[in-house]
Amino acid sequence: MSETLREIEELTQASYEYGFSTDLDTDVAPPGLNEDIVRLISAKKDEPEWLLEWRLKAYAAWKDMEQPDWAKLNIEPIDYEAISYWAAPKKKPVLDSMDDVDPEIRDMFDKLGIPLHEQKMLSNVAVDAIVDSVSVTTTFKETLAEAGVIFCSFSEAVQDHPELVREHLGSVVPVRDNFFAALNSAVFSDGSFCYIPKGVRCPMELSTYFRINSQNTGQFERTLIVAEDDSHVSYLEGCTAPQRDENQLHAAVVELVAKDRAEIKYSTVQNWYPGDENGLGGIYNFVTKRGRAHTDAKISWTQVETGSAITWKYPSVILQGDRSVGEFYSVALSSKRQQADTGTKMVHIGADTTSSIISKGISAAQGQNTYRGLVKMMRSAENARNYTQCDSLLLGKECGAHTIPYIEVKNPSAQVEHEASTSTVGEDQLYYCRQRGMTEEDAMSMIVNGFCREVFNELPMEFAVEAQRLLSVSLEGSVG
Amino acid sequence: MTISSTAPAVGGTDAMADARLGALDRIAELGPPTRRDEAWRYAPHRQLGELTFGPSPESGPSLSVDLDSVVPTLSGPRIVVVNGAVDRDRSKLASIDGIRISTLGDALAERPERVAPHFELGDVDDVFLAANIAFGNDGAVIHIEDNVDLDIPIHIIDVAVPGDSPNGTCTGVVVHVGSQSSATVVETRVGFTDAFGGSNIRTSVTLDADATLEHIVLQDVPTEQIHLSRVDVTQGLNSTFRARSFNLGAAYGRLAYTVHLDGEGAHADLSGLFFGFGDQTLDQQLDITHAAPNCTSRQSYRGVLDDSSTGVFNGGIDVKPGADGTDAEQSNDNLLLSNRAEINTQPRLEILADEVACKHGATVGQLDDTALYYMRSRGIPADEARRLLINGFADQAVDDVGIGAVRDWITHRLGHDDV
Repeated sequence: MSETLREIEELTQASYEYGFSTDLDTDVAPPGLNEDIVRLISAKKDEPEWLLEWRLKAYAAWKDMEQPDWAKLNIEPIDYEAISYWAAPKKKPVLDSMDDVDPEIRDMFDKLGIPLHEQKMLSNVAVDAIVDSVSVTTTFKETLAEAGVIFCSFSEAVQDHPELVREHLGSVVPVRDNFFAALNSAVFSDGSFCYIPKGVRCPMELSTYFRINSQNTGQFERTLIVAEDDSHVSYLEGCTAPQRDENQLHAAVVELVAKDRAEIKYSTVQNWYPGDENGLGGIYNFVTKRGRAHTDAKISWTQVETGSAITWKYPSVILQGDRSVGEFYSVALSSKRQQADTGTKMVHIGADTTSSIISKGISAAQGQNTYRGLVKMMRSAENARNYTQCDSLLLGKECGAHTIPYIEVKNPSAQVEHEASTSTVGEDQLYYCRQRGMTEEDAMSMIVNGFCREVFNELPMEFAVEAQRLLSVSLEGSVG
Repeated sequence: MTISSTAPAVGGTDAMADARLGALDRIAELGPPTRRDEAWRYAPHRQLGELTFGPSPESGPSLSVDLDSVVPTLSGPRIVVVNGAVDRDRSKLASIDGIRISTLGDALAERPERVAPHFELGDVDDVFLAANIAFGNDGAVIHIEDNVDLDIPIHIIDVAVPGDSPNGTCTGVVVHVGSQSSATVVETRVGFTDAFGGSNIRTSVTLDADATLEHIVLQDVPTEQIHLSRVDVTQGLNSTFRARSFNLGAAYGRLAYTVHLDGEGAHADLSGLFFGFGDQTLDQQLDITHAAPNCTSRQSYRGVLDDSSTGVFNGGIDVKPGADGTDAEQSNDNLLLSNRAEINTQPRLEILADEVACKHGATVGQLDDTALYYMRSRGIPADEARRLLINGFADQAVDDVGIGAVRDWITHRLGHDDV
């Protein structure tokens, strides 16, 4: 075992593969938050009056709120007055083709292994690339337009489809929902908007690559996906970030609306800079994600969380309509000094609603991983069902794995099952693999990948590959 | 929660007097629990706010009721505490070789060192524990020497009767089991009052190496009352603590356990039943801390909730760094019998060691329709079939109790014996 420990230590020193920074000429607002900044953001984006009012309402709510401290997280105090709430890439002329995209940005995507100019040919994935809050380029619009699908940046949606945005914005996550959602609602810069009309099956996987670029710029993304009756969409979100010494706050809000018989599958691969081995730097990922499922609708969250210094999020489903379905599949890896307090909330309101939760937490080095979840069966949730399985894997002496589920049941016909286990990789398992010629590292990687398989199976093909690669890379830096 | 006096109880050492003053400050700091306090999330906060605590009277009101008809019939020593003060007439403080049974008041006067840990304030964050430290100066002290096998149970009966203000009473119980010794302690909590009020009972248990204690709590106070029970256990090397709790009475019945497995190879086994009717809220709070290697713990709780009752299970397993070889399991199964009943269950695992095997599970459901149908098809009336199924579910907890007289009391109380 001492050899393993040495290897672990050695590998812990491996530096962040995607640690680099690209210099973009940014237009940055002075640090600090007040009503004028909110007005500035709204004006910069040429927003209608109602949206400004909405932002101001959120700002007023946020001002009276306090940052919550109930999570099992050690958070350095955040100076909200030191954050700059607006940054945009330099205005470029409207582009005719991909060749006109800023070479710097294209280069950045190349480093990430996402050659944007090849996306169109290589995969059937439309990419809405976000660099520091403003969409730089959007592809595949035409194919989507043929199907009647609207997939654009949030700012474009506000200009082109204000009625759709106005109807659904804040309908799932109200402005005063929580501290970070209120903050986001006041200052959100951009994000993605997706609308699938009645009866349409979206012809391709939709994807957005988020990337944090400017120093001292909080990212406040806003995503809204509306799936009309009988529609279907699979949305992919993934991100990596450059190395930083200062903590960067990311407080996004994602709202999903699945109308009758619609299905939304939302997948995330998150690999932001986790900070160095001393816990310095790294992204604060405080996200509010929630979906509302109407009658016979289905919302499925799948997440692979390997990055960020602190991950604090609970993708949730409000199972409002009868027979609606909610799913949550999660792999969360905390290594180095990473902390994760993540899980899901399933609120069963409709009759015959079902939800399932599969959570896999992996803790390595000094990482702390907490599953926190709520399953709530309201009085009206006749014959509702939930199945929850939370497994934790501990790889190391100094890490921690915590499971804090809340189960609240007010209907006797509801059936709820919760199972959790915590274990470590056995010496015998490793020995068996090594005996068959595998290196310790390969063996560990295989065992951990096996542990996560139930979740990886839920990912769309494009992401399953990336997720496995990410997990291996992340593990390289923390365990043998 | 408020206090009726800024003068704490007296007795014992100077350190205890300091702790009591500190406890009063702590009460002022903490204030009554709110929904934001995780451990009190589902408690009736308004009613808790109406409780008042103050120094206990010198002696409780004399009992004019037939106590024996409402408590299990156990031979052997017993201590009866009425509204926080020992009723010596009703108590049987028989002395047995190797065992010292006294009142907490006497122990404070004669051997305060034996109860010193009971009065340590530390970083107490439970306002009712602070109240108990400040005002609880009577109750029972059981001190068992090394190498004693006690085969008869020691019975502590806490009785709530109508009293003057304050409406809350504090009782302290201190149990020490010496090395290689074993004992059984039954704590029965009953009452004869239809007035609002609360009992606040704090039991401190220390188990030396290889000691074994079976500790049974029977909570059956009137449904106008609040019952707050807290059992703090510290376990030494290879010791065994078995807790059996039956949470049946009170408007709000709270049975909290904190168990510290400090000695290697210690074993804690806690099981219980909560059975709610009417508007009752029955709350179980468990915190098991694995602080030494190779300890095992088991938690197995069953809840049955009828009418508009609410059940709470908040069970924690906390594995500290270095507690390798920990084996911990926890389960909570619940039966909801009514559309208005509610269960809130929270099985928590907090693990900071890597060579561990921890599991927990929780289920919530209703009576099995197929089983009901099966019985009805064999001529068993619906009501009876329902009762049989409920009894079958609840009896699993009853079967864990080692004393026949206590099992009989529980089955009688649950109305199982007349099926």
